[in-house]
Amino acid sequence: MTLLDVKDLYAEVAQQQILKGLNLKVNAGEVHAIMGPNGSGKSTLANVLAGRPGYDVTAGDVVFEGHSIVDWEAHDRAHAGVFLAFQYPVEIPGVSNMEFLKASIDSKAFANDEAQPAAAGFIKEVRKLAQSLDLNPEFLKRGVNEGFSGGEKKRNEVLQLLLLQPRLAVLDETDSGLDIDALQVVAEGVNRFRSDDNGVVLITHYQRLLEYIVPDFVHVLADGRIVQSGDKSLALELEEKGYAWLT
Amino acid sequence: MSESVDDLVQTNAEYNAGFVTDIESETLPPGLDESVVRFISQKKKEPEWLTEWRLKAYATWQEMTAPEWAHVHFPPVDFEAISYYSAPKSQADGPQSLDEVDPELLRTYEKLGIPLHEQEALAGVVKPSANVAVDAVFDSVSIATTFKDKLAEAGVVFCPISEAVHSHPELVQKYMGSVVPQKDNFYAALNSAVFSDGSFVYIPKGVRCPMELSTYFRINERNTGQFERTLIVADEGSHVSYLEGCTAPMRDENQLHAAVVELVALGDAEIKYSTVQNWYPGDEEGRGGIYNFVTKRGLCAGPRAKISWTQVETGSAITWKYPSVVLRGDDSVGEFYSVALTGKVQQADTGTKMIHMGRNTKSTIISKGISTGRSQNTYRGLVRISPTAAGARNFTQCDSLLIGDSCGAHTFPYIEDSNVSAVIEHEATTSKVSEDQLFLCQQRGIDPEKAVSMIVNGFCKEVFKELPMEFAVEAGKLMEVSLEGAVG
Amino acid sequence: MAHVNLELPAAAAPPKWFGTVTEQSLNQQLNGALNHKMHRERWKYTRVPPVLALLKEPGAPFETQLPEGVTLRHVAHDSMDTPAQVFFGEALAETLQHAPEATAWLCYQPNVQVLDVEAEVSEPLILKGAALHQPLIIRLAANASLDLHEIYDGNEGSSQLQSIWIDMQPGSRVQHSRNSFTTGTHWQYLRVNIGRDATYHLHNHSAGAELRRQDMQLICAAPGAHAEVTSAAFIGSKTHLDQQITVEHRAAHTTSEQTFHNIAAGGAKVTFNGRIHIHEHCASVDANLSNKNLSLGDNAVINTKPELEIYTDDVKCSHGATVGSLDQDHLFYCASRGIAPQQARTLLSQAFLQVCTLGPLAESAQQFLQQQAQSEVEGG
Repeated sequence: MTLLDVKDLYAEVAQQQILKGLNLKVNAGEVHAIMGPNGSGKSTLANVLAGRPGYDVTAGDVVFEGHSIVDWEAHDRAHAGVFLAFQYPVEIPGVSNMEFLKASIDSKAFANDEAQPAAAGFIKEVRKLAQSLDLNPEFLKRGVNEGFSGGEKKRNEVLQLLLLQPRLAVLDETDSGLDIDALQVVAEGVNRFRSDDNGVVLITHYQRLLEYIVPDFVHVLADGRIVQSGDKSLALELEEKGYAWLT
Repeated sequence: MSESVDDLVQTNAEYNAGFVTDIESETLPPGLDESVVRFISQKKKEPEWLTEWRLKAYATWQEMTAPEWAHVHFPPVDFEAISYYSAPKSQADGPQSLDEVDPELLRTYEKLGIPLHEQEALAGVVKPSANVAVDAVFDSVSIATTFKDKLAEAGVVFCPISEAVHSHPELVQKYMGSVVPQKDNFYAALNSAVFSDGSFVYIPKGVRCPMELSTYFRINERNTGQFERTLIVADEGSHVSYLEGCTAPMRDENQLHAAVVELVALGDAEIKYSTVQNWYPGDEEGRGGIYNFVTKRGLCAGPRAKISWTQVETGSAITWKYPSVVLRGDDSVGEFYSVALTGKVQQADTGTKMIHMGRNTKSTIISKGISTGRSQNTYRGLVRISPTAAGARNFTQCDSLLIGDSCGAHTFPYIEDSNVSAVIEHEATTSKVSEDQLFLCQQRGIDPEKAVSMIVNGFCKEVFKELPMEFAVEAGKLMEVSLEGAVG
Repeated sequence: MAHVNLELPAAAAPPKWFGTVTEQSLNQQLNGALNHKMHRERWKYTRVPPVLALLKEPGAPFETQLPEGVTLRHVAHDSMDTPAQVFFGEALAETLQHAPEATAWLCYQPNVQVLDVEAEVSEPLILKGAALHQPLIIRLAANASLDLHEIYDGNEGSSQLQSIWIDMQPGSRVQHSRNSFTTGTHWQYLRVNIGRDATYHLHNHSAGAELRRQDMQLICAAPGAHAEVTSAAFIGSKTHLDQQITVEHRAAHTTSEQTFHNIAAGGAKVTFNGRIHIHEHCASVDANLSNKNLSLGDNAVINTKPELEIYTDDVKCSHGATVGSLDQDHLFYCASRGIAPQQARTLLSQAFLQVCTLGPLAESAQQFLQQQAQSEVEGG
């Protein structure tokens, strides 16, 4: 079943054309890795999929589970099941992580006409998840990402991924700035998330992450378009030869 | 595709307390002269000394000029256009038992969520878990005070000040004007001349007040000013927590609220005073709204006394108030926790004064200002260390959050130190709700309006945690409603 | 509070370059500004009459040796070629409002000194001498640079006055160092208009005096403008220092950074008022101010007021102020390493000032300030 269908997508940021006719199809149960040099438009793609203000689609379409979502607001996309793991998660002082997670899950439940989880059970579940990701449960009382190290912020993103159980996860350079231990924890989390019902778009600059999260497809993004697609062996080839030969 | 922060700062939410109660009132015609002062005094059957006290204040006031404030702009107040006394007719002779209170009035307070029926409050019908004694002041008079009997058992006096003048004249005479003298400032002098009612609290030696006390102020009548006066005396080693709430109907003209609050904490006593101020702020263009010109001051009279002010200010067209603490007793403690949220064209000029006189006195100031719309939000504070205040300490944290590029946030902290052993720290920061924060929330499914309210609540957390439990929840809700005004 | 109406000595005919303003209107505006509540606020802790008295005296030119690339002219008002509005970068009424005393001084003197800097000047320009100096106007052409030194030292008790107006065209740079160590009544006015991508840096080193008042107004007038101030002062026994600084951000993408460290000895009186003003629609401004005060002796009075006035949301702004005496933990640490209490106090005081003693005059300033600190600690 097709989860995501990006059709001939053009997008601009600050009046600069970044995506120039991008096509990508993700089916349920698949992991797609998007690789490419700096400035090729990888992060733009992630932000456009999530509907970040300031990222304007000028042509083409993004179809998610049969609906065109380019005109949807970011929170409506989130409710439908689009999740973005941020490259640089922002801090929100004073808003505790637990409070934030509850607000998030309640909003989604409310929008989808589902019952909101009871507080006690919810807190238990979150604490369990935190432990499984090597996050000290004390972090949950602190402000969102406030005073977190880079690795802790990324693990917090994975915690939210596992908690919210989206249909489509877009991971924007989640591996950047992680040491090998943290990378393994993050990869383990993503592998736990993988199922036949959901899809993953993995944006990364390095092949390293793909040793831990094995993709079904690898695409190379250059100058706003996908210029090459293949299986996981393509990543190894890129590692060896760099990106120059492709463009 | 999606709103930016700027787009969100557009329309106007409703002011939920903006209704008018249709009730027959006895209201003095506008204008102020000696006969008005005498009329008010007579109406309350006051003793001679108090009539004289009022007249002296009136004479002082006449010699003063209305203050001009550097950062607050408004047309001069016409003191001849204000009525200085208004009372619901059925209540003109002062409060009676709850059964006799006009049902229309009870409904007003019910609509505002203030429980005046003790049984219901206890049974949790109106407000679960609320165990709060309430004094309700409607325009110029107190209409009901709840839980009087239970408080009396503990020896606590909680009654309208007009009643205390008769029942506890020695306390009133001793302390009224002892912290805020009649001539303290223009509006305090005016209040001293024409104050109509307010609450009086006395906590005897060593008593911990068994419940929260609260006064609820409501301005209903058109063209009236509200001039209440509150006096709280905590005798040695006693403890009390007190809350005031304020609302008024939506009206086109500006109404004046010039209250005086005096707190006296004797040795080892503690007074915690919390305010949730939600007077009508006026409309989008600045028409109407309350002028909230209030003098609040506490005196730590004895050693180890503690006075703590917590305020959540979301209403009023103009707020001008500086709840202060005079730290006279050695080792006494003063605290000020404030959240001031302004929207539309509101102006808030608020802060505190901490006057250190005793040795090893300590003060803490946490102020959070949130500006939206075209409003101006000012923190103005004074920390003064007298030569006698050896070992005094102050910590001040002043943060401003701006939402939208047409509002202002200002900080004017005065620090005056005359003692070498004092330690004073002041920090201030300014930030905005960033597009990144909003997007993170939105990406996790939280809509922008809820996100802004969450972020603002997070910003205010240090202050909200100082509020008594029930009121912290109220304050959070009030912020949400007020922000709807800013965020649309 | 009732107050005496202050009055400036009446000005002669307004200088031509001030435009069409009449004598009467100018005097009215000057006195109006002087008595305005906002302006009186700036004189809350210092008596203004001694400074006003200076304005009645005749001024003298600076004695200086000019480095290459700099021209200095004594210009009669009638010959000034820039209209005031252009030079001030704002309406005359606004300048009057901010600086009535300095504007008055500008009008009362028969001529002004105009210093033009056309290129990058490598040698420092040194201004010296205890006197009431005629107003000095410094104009930097685009991409020009100047290393300006002001040195007022020795035990001269005579009165002093400097009023310096600097206009910085795009890309220009000024490094300004100032040692003010004299003991008499001393009023210093400084105003800098910082243009596009221009950088102004003030190293301010001061001692207390009978009365020393420093008014500084730095204006970031165009994008890329940057203002920086580091200041250290030792206010000795029974002396006085009053510092008033305003940094105005009148354009987007401007930055400022200010650090003031002051030590007050016994009976000294020090006043600091630092104001950051960010105008409407000036986005992406980053402005910070820190004022730390150390009180060393009994009966010292320290007044500080760091202010923020902000009219737009896209700013990063902070200020901080502290008042205290030497840290007990630091003193104990020194003691545990065998440093005697008195020596430790001297060391720690000196260190406190040293972090703000920078620039080309740092060495002489350090010498002076350290010696002051030492004699205060050891004498007390």
